[in-house]
Amino acid sequence: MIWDELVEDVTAGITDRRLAREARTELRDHLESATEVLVAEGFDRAAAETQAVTNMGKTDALARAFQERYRRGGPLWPVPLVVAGLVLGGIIAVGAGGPGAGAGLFVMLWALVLGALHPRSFVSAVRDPWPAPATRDGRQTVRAQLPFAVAGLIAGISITPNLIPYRDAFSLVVPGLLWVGSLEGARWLSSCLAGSPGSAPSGDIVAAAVMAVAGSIISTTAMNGFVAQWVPQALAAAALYLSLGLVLWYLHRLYRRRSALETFAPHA
Amino acid sequence: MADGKKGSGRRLVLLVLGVLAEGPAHGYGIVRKVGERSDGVLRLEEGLVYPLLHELEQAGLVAGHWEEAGARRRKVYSLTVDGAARYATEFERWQAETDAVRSVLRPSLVKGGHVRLDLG
Repeated sequence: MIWDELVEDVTAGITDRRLAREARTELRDHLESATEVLVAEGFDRAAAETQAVTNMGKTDALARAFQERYRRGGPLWPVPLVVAGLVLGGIIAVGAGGPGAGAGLFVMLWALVLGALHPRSFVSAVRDPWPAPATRDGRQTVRAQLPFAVAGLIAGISITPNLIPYRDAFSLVVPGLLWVGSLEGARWLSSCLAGSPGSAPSGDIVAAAVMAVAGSIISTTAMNGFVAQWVPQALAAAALYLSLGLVLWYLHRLYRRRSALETFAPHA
Repeated sequence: MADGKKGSGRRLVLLVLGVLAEGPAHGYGIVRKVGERSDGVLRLEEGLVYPLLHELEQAGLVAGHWEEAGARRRKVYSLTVDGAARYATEFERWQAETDAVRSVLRPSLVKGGHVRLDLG
């Protein structure tokens, strides 16, 4: 088709493959619809297609609009919040020691997993802990996740005493996996209920599992050596996290983009 | 004007929400309605409607769902309760601004494309 190149160029900046595929489908439907209308108005098919492409607007401007739309919430978005979670986890770990260290490290893993895989959830959880019930477009809400998270936490805590010497690993892996699994399950289920099943959650779960295992290795190492025996160094590390967090938070505020609802610049 | 972009962005949000307040529509349907209702005065750069629709969807102001349109798949948008409230707010704001501009300008000074200057 004449518009294939336009559609590909315009959606090239969308990094999420599912969103890019949907955007392409939507743009193609638009161009087909416009062409049909133009043909009905007397254009021959080739001229109608060309006109439909022209009416879409300049490729560069469209590509930029799509790219900017989907860049928000990108990989750098949650960094300050992840660091804040790490700081909190570090403080709990150092301050409480023993079981508290496990809780602190759990907070750290929570910040890493949720921040890395679900930046929007992480941000919305911080900004609006009790949002409205799940919407039909497949977005999950904290309210829907909370029971799963609590269940995961309880499961993790109950399993822990029975799995010594692996308790540190399991205290992180079990709640972490349940939490992320519940997020993905809720998202997928709600998208199915909405009539448009989302992408399979397996990729994210595998990624979460890898991160959880990595977290467990880190935690086991930390519990056996770093936190328990080298508290001053742990304090120094927490201070380092805090400084890094403040710097990143400042940069985040400095470069934060305003909502597109306020700055969108169409040609109406 | 300093807030030109912001103003035109708000106007497009108002137009899109206004069309959807009448019933569900797909992107091209929205563009067509805006063009037809304004007798072609408001000509949207059609492709730019989609990033905005996605933004509105993300904000929970509109909800999109996929439908089969012959051999094609089509995303149809409808207004949510939050979207309806936002539309009411934007509409009232636009009306207040329009009334304010109208109260400043004096239409009687413009006739046949010329301004009758009152320098006295």
